[in-house]
Amino acid sequence: MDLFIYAIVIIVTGGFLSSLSGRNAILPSVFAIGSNLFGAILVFILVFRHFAADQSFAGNYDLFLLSGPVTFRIDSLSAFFMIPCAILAPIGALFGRGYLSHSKERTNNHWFFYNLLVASMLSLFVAGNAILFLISWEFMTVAAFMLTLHDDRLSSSKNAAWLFFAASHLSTGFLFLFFAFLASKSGSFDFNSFSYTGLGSRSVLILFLLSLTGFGTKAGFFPFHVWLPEAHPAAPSHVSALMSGVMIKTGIYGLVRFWVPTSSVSEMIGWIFLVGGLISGLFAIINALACDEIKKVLAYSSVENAGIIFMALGAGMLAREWQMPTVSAFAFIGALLHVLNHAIFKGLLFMGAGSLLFACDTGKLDRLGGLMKRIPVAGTCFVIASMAISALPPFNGFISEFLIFSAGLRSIVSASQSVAFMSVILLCGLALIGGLVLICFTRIAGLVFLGETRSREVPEVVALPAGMKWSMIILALFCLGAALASPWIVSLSAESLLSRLSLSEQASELDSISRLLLKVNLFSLSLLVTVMIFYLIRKKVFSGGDRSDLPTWDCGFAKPDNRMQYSASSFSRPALELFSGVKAQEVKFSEIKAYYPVKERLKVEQGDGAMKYIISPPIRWLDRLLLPLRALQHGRLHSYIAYLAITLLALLIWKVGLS
Amino acid sequence: MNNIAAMLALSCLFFLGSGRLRLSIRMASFQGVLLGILALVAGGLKPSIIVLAVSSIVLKGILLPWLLRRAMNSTCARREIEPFVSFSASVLSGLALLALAQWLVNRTELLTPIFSPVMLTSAYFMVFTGLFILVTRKKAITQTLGFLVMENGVYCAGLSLGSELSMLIELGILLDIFVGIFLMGIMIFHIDSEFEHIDTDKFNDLSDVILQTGGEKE
Amino acid sequence: MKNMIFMLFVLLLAPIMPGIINKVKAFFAGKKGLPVMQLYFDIFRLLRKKSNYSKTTTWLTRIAPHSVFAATVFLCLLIPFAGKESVVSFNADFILAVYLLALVRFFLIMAAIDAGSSFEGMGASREAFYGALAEPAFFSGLLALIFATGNLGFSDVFNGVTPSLWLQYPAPLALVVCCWFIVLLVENSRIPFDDPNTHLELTMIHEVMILDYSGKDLAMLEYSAALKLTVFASLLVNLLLPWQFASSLMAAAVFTFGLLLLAVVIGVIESTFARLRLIQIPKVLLGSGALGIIALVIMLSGK
Repeated sequence: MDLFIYAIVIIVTGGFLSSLSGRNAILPSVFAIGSNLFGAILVFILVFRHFAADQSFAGNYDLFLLSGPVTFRIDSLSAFFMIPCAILAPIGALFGRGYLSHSKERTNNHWFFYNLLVASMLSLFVAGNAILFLISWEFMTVAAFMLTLHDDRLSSSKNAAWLFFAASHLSTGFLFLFFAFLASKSGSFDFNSFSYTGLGSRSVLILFLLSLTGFGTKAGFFPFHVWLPEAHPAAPSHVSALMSGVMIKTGIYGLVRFWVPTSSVSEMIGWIFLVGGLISGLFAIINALACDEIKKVLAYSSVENAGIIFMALGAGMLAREWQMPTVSAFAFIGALLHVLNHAIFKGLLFMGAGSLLFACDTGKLDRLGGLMKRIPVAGTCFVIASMAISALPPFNGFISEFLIFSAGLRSIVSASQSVAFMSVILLCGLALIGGLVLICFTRIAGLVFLGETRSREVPEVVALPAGMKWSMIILALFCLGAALASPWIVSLSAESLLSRLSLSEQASELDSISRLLLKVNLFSLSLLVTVMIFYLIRKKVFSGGDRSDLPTWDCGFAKPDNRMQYSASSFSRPALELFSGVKAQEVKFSEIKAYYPVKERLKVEQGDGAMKYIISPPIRWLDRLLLPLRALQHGRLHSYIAYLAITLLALLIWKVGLS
Repeated sequence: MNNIAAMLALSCLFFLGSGRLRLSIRMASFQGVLLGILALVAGGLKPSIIVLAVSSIVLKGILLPWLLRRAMNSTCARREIEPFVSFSASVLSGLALLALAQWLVNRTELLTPIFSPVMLTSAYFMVFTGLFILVTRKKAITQTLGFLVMENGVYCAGLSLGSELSMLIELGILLDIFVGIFLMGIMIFHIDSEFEHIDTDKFNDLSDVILQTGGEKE
Repeated sequence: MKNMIFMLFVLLLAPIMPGIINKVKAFFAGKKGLPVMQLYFDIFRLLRKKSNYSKTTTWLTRIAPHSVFAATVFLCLLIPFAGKESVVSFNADFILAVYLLALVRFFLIMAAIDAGSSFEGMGASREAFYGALAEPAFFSGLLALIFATGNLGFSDVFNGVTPSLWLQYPAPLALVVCCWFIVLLVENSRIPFDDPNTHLELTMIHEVMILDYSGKDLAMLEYSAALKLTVFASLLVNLLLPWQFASSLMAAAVFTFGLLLLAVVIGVIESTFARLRLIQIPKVLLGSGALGIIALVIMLSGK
């Protein structure tokens, strides 16, 4: 446990040091990288010790100014969820050093908040009582808010940050209610004392909906995801990586901790997770297909991946309630591994997008193209990450989706009506989402890095600093490494994780899971090696006389232009037509009527359907309802004090008068 | 002790009725000195009490009035003009507030005051007066004074309920008040040089809340 | 070992499938047509040629044919052929198979975009979209089969499809066959979803994606396409011919006969159907997915 405190202290101190290190160009980022790396190593040691020796750590600390002790407790869930944070934090810092090097502004405070974000996320995962949890939650929000505001001259960035802030506070409000209710029932803020026994299932369900709104907002659960595609792209890329890779997981972590273990409404929750996850996933990936800004696509894809995780969790809970422990184990392990894997490849994808912004200063898909030749490292890493997120073997995304799919396939064997319904939703839904993800990522990886540039003039491309390159290479290796390590991760951590999720007596089954993963890995690794060898032989032995100085065949058209390449919007058009109801696209175009058409413009504005049809109307209604109250807020200081005075007096008179 | 409490209450009433800033400041410094004496009377000659009393007299009786007077001189504001509630009405309201304070003290039997109920009454009254001034007066200096009076009330209540801890807290608050008024003095000066008035009533020009109604009119 | 030999046999046999289809089509058109072995000749001819690359292309174009070829061959390791046993099998190997197909698709699409031409991008876009819809359809058929047999691997499932199972669930299995047949046609870009023979870019999917390949690369891609067709056909043949044979020679003969017959059927369909309008294709695909689910529902209610 002390190790954890050391890690937090190191990270926070690193943040302070870099914020204090003045105008020095190198020092702030060196402090940030060093402290994050050091802290991450400590966290890794802690996590490893936890799983290998099966130790649980707990500590109580009396922090002054807080009523009651602050409890840190590391169980398998918190240990597991800390892993993505510990992986991404130092690599993100390394990337950020390069990424921020071209901005003229000082980065001291940026690093301070970066480290604060990392530290608060880590302490959120080990919080053993509601007070520490909420404090960390708030610190995380504030730090992320400040980081999102890094580029605060852009109004879009400012709006995104405010949207994020509003959404976060709404979610915190719901969490306050949730925790307050549980604490008032148990008389303590300690998580261990919380229980739902003795509550009617209706009130448990209400509690669940409270926390679903609270945590789901962070996790991007439909329809509370609306802030996410705005805020994540607005932050600097390494922060987006951390937000999408780890911060989303804090919401998932909360729901897993409080609701996935057995309760009286587990079956209901399972269905909500399964169906809600499917809706999130499909909705998000369709919107991702419609977006034309790379980081927004990635943010939507994060929502989609959260949806997949929710589907798997839901299936696991249902299977557990229906006495199919094997299916449940597959689904849970798949979901948790996906938490880890998503952090890795989404981190890499955001860094790839960051490289684009760094090198070309734009993330608009329809303007980019042909960058593989200009920034090959970023391009190659981005393609690898795209393969990983499309769940292609041999990369890590495949491993987790393999487990989730197997859960679905396994469940159908012993089917009843409702089980079959679950499997159909899980499998066909996942397959459809998977196919759309493939479209989405061939679209962005292909259209950005391959072909030729799509703008009329060739853009200037800035070379990437070494830090950015190396951080991406490391993460790309992690994409393969996490897949190869998965049997080991499962055999090490799965048993205690599953028992935490009310599934035990699974030891023999776990062996078979890791053996299965080993086989899959062996298969896909040998495929990888075969391709490599095959390609090398071809290149060394059979490539004589090959020519690579020819133009692309132009189908007889005399003067092909770069602008004639297939564009991002045309690429996803067929798929979008099928789902045209989901995306809120506004096309502004006046039809050509005259015989000799003059110059026309076509403008397509991309909105979020959930924002437009689900979130905005009640907010607008509330806004109208509360409009008269605006009169109270007129900026006159005297009246404000008068409100205070009147309230105080009224309270005093009421209290005294009644006693 | 009851005499001191009565004098405090009277000074408050005077405060409500007076429009001249110089007089008001003098009243505030008078209250500060009274409070220092009150602490000595109530708490005896213990070291902590002496520190409290001396610091109260020095800060509230001498330093703060000096600062305020300086601010007043630099802004050339002499009188409180056109308060929201006229001076005579203020005095009447003050009497009503005094009655309210008395009623409150009578009702709260839980808080058995150690020294005298009169002192608790005047403590409440001072808090109310301070709030009232804050709400109804326009000049920033007067508002500062209202704040000071309110704080005096809190201090007085602390004394009359008498515990060692409250002394410590009181010292802390005293420091806060000092810093606060120091800053306020500086700010008043700057606001004056920027806007050529220190009417807080007009500060809402600075508000960044774009009012719906205002927006529609434009 | 036996399974390995079967697999090698299929690897050798694969290029004959398009030949038969084309021959049938020629017969319907009243023409003599190309020799059945034409694809073998093509591949050998292409293998002797050099490759040309556009200067727009990157390493993806170069590595794609190798990946596609290797992934398709590896896919064959998972698929049971004549002996109803695959070379490699484990629980839920379907998923690996499906994602190997996705890997093939990924590289084809990326290579197509890599050329930087609007035609190839168009093919890539369609391939990606139809692939996305074919995947759930394939899974829905698979779900029904897994439910019917109670097994969790290609080999086990096809060993579980016995004549008695057909008697037990005639209608659901027929629906699964329909479902997978549609998936076969889509995944292999056959009429009515794609016309492999026209040279009008607007109607092509697979052919247009490999437009810029030449020489050895094209040979690999053509071969992989034929092999993929054979793999899908093998699944259907295994489903339609549920009998087990003691002698492997007999099994191989029946299996080969089934494959060739299926190729003829595809040829007949290609000759008698018109190409669907592109807008219609998603509906057909979703419909085929529904077939699998209906099969499942029928079996569930019969249980």
